[in-house]
Amino acid sequence: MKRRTLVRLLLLGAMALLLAACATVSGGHIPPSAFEFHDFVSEQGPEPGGWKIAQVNILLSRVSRRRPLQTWCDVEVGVPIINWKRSISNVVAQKRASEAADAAAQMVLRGPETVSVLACQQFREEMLRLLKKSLDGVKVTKFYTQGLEPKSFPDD
Amino acid sequence: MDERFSTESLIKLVHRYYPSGIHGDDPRHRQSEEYKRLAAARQTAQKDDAVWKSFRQRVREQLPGCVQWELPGLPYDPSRHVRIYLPDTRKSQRERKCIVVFTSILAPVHFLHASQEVDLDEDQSASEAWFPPLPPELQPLEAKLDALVRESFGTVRLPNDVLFTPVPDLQVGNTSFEKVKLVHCLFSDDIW
Repeated sequence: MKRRTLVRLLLLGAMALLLAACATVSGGHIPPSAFEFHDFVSEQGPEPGGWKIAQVNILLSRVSRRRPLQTWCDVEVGVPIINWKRSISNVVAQKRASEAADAAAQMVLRGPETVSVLACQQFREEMLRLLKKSLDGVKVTKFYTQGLEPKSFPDD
Repeated sequence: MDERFSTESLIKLVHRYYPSGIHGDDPRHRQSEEYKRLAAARQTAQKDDAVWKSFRQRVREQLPGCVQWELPGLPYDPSRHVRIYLPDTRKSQRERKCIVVFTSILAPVHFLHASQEVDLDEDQSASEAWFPPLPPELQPLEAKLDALVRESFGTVRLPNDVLFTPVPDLQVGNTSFEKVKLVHCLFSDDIW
């Protein structure tokens, strides 16, 4: 066997081993702009209240021979317009939602889940757990609200 | 207790609204007769909120020092709920305690739990939910609200043992098979 061919085979072998051993996260960071909030219930006075919603389809993708995952998860984030602490601006809601989505995606993709429905449920659960720390009253679910145009990440 | 509110009857009832063994992310879930029945019940209830509004008004009149925080229930769950804080709770307080009133649209039943929210710093907060028996300082508010709920809706308050009966073949909201309880099916899995 020629030396060049042998090197090529060794490289291919190493790549195959890497693919089998570790998952890679694709898609990059989920930007705040992926979460476009729309007022759903207007606030009434200074007390906690109001409701706004963002809907995003997020692609979770893990390139792995043993633990492949490729699934779109529909995620609806509902946030009060005012909670006890503050009025929650769209900028704050978007920033917090994108940070939580990023962290939740990393958590799911580093884990072993390969079943799409379970990966999406894990993703929403983790996103909710993280968002609850900073946004009292937040809700993370599948799409429930009709009439909104969901965004997608990555864009279709 | 009335046979309609026995654990067996309520388990049978919730199986009319959630398909057994089908995850919420499985396309067959929303195509199922059970889901369509649940969605229709939520839509119908959303159009008729007169009794709920009248209950909120009664709370305002009879407990004027208590802030109410209603979060959207019916768009997501088969229930309405409102958080009612201890009298004279102020924004500046680091800790806030409230009673949360849930009423179901699937059966004439309600439940109450307590919640404590704590601001850890400028950004972070935490909450904890308690089920009966509630801490003594919340019991007077609990008793008043329970009486108001019974008068307003004519509903029965479900005890813990019924609420926490497992319904392992159903999947509700973000709660997995095997972890679902009757309280999740009748009210919500988002309790904080």
